[in-house]
Amino acid sequence: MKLTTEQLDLISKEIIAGGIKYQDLYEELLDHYILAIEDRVEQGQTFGEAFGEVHSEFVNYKLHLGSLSYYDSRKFTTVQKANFGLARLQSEYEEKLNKEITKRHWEIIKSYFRWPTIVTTLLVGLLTFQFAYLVPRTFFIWVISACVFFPLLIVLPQIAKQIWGYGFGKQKFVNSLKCNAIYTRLGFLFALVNIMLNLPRAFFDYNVFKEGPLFIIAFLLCFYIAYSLSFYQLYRERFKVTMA
Amino acid sequence: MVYRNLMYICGMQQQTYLKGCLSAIVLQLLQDNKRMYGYEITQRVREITAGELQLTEGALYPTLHKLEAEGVLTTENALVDGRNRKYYKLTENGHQQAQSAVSELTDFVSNLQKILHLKPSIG
Repeated sequence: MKLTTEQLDLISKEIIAGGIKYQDLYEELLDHYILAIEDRVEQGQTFGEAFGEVHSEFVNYKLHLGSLSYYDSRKFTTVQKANFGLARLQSEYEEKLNKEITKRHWEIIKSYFRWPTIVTTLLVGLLTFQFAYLVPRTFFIWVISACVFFPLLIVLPQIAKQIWGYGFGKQKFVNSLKCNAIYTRLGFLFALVNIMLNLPRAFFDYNVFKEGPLFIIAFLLCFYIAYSLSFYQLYRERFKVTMA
Repeated sequence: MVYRNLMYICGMQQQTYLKGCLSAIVLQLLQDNKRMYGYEITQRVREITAGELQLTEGALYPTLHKLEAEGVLTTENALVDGRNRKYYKLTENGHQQAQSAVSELTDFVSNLQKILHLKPSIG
């Protein structure tokens, strides 16, 4: 038996009230709730009974852990946050995903220094160092910028899709867990560039690209090429959301 | 089949035993069926074990999410009844892991059977 629009709204509101804030997890839970409730209603239960039964399975998840209170420095108040049920399910998923993605990303970078890939890595490194003495310094700024913005270009269609979906009411949330994990990796790349460019400039009035030794610039370029390529590999491996 | 062996060891504290075997069950089911979604997995286990075993959602989803994060499972979305359904399927690495998890569990069950059938003897 199909559920009514009001019933679907109630399910959606309860999932959101449980602390869910990512589109992919929200959709997965919503689908599960609907299927489980429809099955129970077909077997003779009322909507209320069926919903209560299904909801309790999630709400009671790690119930003994109770709630978590912390001081929010932006709001200047102590915040009480649920540490069980749907919110707990989400935070565990988020934590696992971020941890494994970071681990896998470094594994990919490390694989560039293992046999036989190390031969290619050494060749690229050697060529970069040779070029450092042959081309003008501004060239490096362009290549490093390309390496930094290349990952952003890869995820840009996904970001546009999310904003579009949220803007036109097709999605309840703008972000998804998987995308959040990959944006963290991207944020790390931007943070590195920012630190490298702005810290020496702010504290010592020193521009790495204009005044820095060439071997350091060549080394940085090698690092950004490796990071960019590994990001692309990671994206292909884990983040391409396929539609069946 | 791993499910039948599981039914053998599951007695009064079924859910407690089940928690330890959940990954192997999920991997075996996904090896038998190309792709499955969360609710389908719970129903399939209930169907195979004739209602003897019931996967709780609170245990199933963290397991699926853990396996997905580890790269053992991959997901694909399909539009069903106007909503997105998330299907899980094994990755290449997942197929190997499924085989080893199931064989480990089968060994464990056979060892358990040996222990449970041992009669105390007087030396």
